[in-house]
Amino acid sequence: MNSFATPQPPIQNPLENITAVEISTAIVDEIVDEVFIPWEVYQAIYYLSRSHLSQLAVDSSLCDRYLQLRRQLELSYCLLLIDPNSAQYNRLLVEAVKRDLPILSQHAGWEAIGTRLPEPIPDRRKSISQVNKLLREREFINVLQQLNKRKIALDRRDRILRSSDRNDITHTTYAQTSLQLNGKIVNRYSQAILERSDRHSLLQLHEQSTNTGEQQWRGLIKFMLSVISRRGM
Amino acid sequence: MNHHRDKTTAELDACIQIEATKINRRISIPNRVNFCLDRQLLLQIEQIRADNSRLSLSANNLANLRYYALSNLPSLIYNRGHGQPAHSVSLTFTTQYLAEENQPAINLFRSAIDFEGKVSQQITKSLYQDPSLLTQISQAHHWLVLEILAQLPLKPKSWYRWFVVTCFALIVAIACGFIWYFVSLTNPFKIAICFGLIVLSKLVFKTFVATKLKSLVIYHLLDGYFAKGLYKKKVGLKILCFLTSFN
Repeated sequence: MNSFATPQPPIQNPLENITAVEISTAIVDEIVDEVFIPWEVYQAIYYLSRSHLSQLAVDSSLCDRYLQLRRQLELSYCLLLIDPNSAQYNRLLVEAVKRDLPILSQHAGWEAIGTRLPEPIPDRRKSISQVNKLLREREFINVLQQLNKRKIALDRRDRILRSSDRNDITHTTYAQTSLQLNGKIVNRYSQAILERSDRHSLLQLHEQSTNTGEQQWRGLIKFMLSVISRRGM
Repeated sequence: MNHHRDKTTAELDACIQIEATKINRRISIPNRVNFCLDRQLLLQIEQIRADNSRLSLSANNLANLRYYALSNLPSLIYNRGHGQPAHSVSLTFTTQYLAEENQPAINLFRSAIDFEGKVSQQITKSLYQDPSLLTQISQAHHWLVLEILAQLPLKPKSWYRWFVVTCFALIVAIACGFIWYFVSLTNPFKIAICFGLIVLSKLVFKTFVATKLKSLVIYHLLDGYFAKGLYKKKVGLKILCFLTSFN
């Protein structure tokens, strides 16, 4: 048991970054497990471009929002390239990347910059190890996961926009309540439910979810505190 | 009456199943908790709720559920596996309903509770379109989740703390006794050494037990010695429970 001998990192305080409890309710056709496969998500976002989106016949109102995912992927990689603590750090590229960062931080004009991201499926001469190395970066994976969630939401929105029934709420979060630590309660509703005849039962269902969801989260926190709490934490 | 209650308890306990993925010959990673309900169990849950009774979990199920909760929140409480990606994960509870005995159970309701404060509830369209079943299933689902979460926290017994404090005091007293009788120094020096020994041992004990040992046990519960097999998990959780009494 070598791991007994290896130094164990200290237990961290996970409560520092929590500012709100967010409860969302959705009606779905089928409950399926969403599996996050980093390489697949990376590939799907890497190839996002205007031509690719028009090939897929994505609703034109969503194209800019899809392209922002691609920009954010590029930006998060560039930030790793200039971070000396990252395995992706490249001293030779620091100056050029720093020059491009202001453009990459804007919503327009960034497409003119050539990509620095490694290709998901490299040609024969290059190996795939660069992608694999990148997908082992904790920070990059966290960004990828967030982008994936937004892409799933955009995909669902695109399906609704292209379908005949625009009041269909299936597979989208129709109501969301955010209970913030500063006391604010923010409710967000999908526009589609306002035009539905069954909106009262949908809102009632969400209200029930909110009441129990908050208690469920509190139960989870109690478990975590029973494990990690210590004086001075 | 008692026999009937025991039977209900056992049936409810059996309906709580943890789905796991086997990552190697010995270690399985739990993915989600399933509640496999049928008409009979829904009625039983309604009765228990009406009586204001609690869900009684078996020791094995409770250990598995605690392990599931612990193993799904490692990136937040414990940065194990240097360089290993930290996915934001959530505890998932799914209610499956068996309408007829010879039909497969269908997933109807799901709650995913993220430690960062995101709670998402998914309801299938078919369930939404059946208001009476929706009421029954949603109430049973939320009750089961809340009952499980209420029983998850580690509850150290009060004697744990006293037992260790007594042992600690005895060891320090014996060490001080040795210094007093076998070290040839003047009394003020002996008093100073004994005092220093008490302070130092308390400091070492606190650091060692409150942080290092607890971190080590959590590490081995997640993917070390205690992760292999239910019995070892139970032992690991018992030790962790013992150590948390010094929080």
